[in-house]
Amino acid sequence: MPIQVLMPALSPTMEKGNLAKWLKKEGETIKSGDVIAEIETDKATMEVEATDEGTLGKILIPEGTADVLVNTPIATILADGESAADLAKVPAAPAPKAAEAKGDAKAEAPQPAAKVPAAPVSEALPDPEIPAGTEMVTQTIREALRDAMAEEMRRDGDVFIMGEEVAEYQGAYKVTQGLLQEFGARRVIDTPITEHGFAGVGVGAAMAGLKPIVEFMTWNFAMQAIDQIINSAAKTLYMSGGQMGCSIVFRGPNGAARASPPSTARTTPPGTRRCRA
Amino acid sequence: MATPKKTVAKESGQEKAGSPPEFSREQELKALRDMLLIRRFEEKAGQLYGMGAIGGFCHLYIGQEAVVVGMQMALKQGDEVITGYRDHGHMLACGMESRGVMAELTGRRGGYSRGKGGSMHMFSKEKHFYGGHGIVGAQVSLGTGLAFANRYRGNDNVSVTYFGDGAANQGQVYESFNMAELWKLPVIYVIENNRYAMGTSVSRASAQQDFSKRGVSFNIPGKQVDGMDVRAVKAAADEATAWCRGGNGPIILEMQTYRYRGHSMSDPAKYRTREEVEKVRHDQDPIEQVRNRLLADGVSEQDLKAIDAEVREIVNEAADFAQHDPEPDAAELYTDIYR
Ligand SMILES: Cc1ncc(C[n+]2csc(CCOP(=O)(O)OP(=O)(O)O)c2C)c(N)n1
Ligand SMILES: [Mg+2]
Repeated sequence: MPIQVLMPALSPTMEKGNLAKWLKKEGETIKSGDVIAEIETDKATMEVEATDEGTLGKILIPEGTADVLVNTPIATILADGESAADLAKVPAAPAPKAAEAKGDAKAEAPQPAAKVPAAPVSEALPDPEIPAGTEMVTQTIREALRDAMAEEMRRDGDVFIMGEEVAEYQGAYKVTQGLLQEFGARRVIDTPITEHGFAGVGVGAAMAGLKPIVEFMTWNFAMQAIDQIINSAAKTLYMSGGQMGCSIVFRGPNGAARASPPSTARTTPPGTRRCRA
Repeated sequence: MATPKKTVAKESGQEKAGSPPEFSREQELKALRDMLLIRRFEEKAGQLYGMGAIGGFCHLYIGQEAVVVGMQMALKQGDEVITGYRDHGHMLACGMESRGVMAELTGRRGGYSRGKGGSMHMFSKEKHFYGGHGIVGAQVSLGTGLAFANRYRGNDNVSVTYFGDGAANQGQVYESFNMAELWKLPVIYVIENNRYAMGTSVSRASAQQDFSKRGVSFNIPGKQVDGMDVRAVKAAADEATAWCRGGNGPIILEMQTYRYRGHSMSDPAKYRTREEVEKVRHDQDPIEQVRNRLLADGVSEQDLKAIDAEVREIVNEAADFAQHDPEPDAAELYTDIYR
């Protein structure tokens, strides 16, 4: 059966356009990819390419017609072996209705005035995560961070750490002290000063199932890599419909410090969790 | 890891292919079918976009089909593929299903990302396709990370990391090149030089327009390849995979190719003439090249038409599915944020 060529939308917002010019005549042979017509919108002139093969059967909308609604049949293409007689077989397509008025006429139901929330009461509560009777040790935060990473690395061979000066130098702020000696250069990896690149390498390795710890020397430098952290690491689980998760830890010192630049990150993008120590 | 064997010519850009090795008839037919599938799929996607069935961004691969098809013919099970937003062809070449890709374009449940990713964000662990990335250049470091994982695990898989001539100017590309060579990662950087980044031609954006030389300062070898000839692509891919699997580290293949359509659907393409497009299409079309060789070799027009009909059938079925499959439930907005 002859194929209808419809007035295309050139953007999601386009509703109608002008049929500026036909570049093929009725009866001419058409291959897919041939430019058959030009259409105009208020923004641009664009070419309409054929996606079917055959001959141009009938031009339904003559050139120069203004305000042709998107999806209106503008021509028919006859496939091999079809003739003008077949044109009659095309069901008369109802011209699309003018786009329905955008926007909702219904008035929004008035919202009840929000109640003024009571001021929060702050109270130091015992941490419910810590079982009663747990023996506490005293250590610095950097030691605690290092011990936590070492514990994970002992437990799981897929955990590795990478960042600037994490290995040979023993960590710019000594957080990775001793890790190179215990785990070797395969798992404690010095990177060039290339935050955006190594964050991406970390995320890629995590997509492949490894569990990287990516250290930024300070959190300010993490902003070099914020694109990988948000667009690649955090959002991909969602955008892959749950298939392509990534277990990765980005870490680095942040917060107010004397004579240092203001700290950069205060929000937690969806898809990431923020840990503080 | 094996000691590096320097088998590929180090002189970048010097190895411009003369006449590539011939394909067997089976290879020609396979290349034709796979390229046709991509072309017909993309034409249909363009059409559905025109009907308003696809929204958002949509970048078509028409004209560049020989690149992914030729590369894929040289890969083996487990080799990873990653690319940017112009990704439909890569997915089909990896063996992902037309209907799943098309349904993702229309934002339906049956799409590869369950309707939540769209044209630029699709993935398949099963087919080792790692996306589909919207940020220009981001996939280059990610692909290097895939190669890192291969080396870490000591397997002999290769990461095929595709990016554009525009993306080749991004900083993270060079950060990745440095690490890839430093750590001898098995990654093939395929630069798809289609002469334009959106409306900016290579000559307006690039100081070094020979992309095969972009690795010179990292000692990464490179080669310019006629990306419109699927045989030349396959031959270069064979060399590159052997180089990577031999423990020699990364390699760059600059594929000289061309996109026929606009950058995305709403690009009026005023930065080039219709004659320029027509000339490439007429003289170099990757599909026509194979068709003509097959016809000269005695394959009938009828047989070739049958391949086209088979491919159109797949694409029509995909389009039909993509328009009738239900949209995701609104509650999906809150899923897959945390695991
Ligand atoms: C970081 C970033 N900057 C800008 C863009 C907008 N953008 C999308 S594609 C593109 C052109 C890229 O061209 P090229 O790398 O040559 O690939 P092609 O589109 O030709 O396949 C630009 C500027 C983006 N997506 N990401
Ligand atoms: Mg380009």
